[in-house]
Amino acid sequence: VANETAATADVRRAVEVRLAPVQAFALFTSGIGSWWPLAAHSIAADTLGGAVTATGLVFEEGQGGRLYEVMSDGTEGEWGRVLEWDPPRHVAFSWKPNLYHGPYTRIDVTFEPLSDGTRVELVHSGWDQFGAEAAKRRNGYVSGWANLLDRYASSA
Amino acid sequence: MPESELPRAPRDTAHQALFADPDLVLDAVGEAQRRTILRRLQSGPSPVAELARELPVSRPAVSQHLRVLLDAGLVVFERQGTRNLYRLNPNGIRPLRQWIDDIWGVALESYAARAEELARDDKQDSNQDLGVQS
Repeated sequence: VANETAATADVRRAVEVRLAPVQAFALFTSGIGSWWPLAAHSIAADTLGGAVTATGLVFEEGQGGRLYEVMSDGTEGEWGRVLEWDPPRHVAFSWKPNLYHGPYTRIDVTFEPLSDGTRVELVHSGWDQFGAEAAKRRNGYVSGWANLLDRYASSA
Repeated sequence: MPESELPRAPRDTAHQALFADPDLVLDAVGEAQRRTILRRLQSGPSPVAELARELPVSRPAVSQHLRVLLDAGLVVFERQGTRNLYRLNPNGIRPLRQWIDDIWGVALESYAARAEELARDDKQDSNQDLGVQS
């Protein structure tokens, strides 16, 4: 049974990569255009329904840097701004990759050194700002399968 | 560029599909006759009467199914002259896709794949520096 806490709980994901933290940090931030699935997730794809396409994603380094999408008609669409910049350990940025009115959520990414690489953990927070809409807004970021696993883990 | 100068998103169907409840979509496609209606609409928009003629279902039953598909955001309703047409919503399937593949899961998988490419390139470079055949 869903409850208020579950609907607004931080979304957490982690992945391990065989890169040093400095490289893992650089790939996540300034290199974001080389891996973000723009065809599936962008303002152009999500909000504008195919009228234009997203051609690039730019992550400006440093405090206050902009994260923005470049579209096929030359328009830029801002997704958020860098809130904390502490390479190669931590970066935080605001997040709203769509044109709908409403609050920005927050993404914190930490880079923890391992003996042969880096553990990259992402925490997506700020869902309580959406009030009754929180569960709906959070849906796209939490798969049904992940939900099942979360529930399993919390009941174990 | 200030947000006000960006193209405005329509508040209706795209919005509905982006934040639609995946449970509604799963329930809507979990019924054989509704899947038949969806397949029929793949070949183009249609009025209720035409759907009822082509399918082995009564017209009230077709209307009922269309109501469920509308609520789930899978089809949209439009007036063309004097005719009321139903057509597939191209964004309708997104909530279902996201129910299976959440955004961060997909994005981080892609990040890890790119990281692995870079790690392999690095290793090859350093092997070449050491004169190792890779």
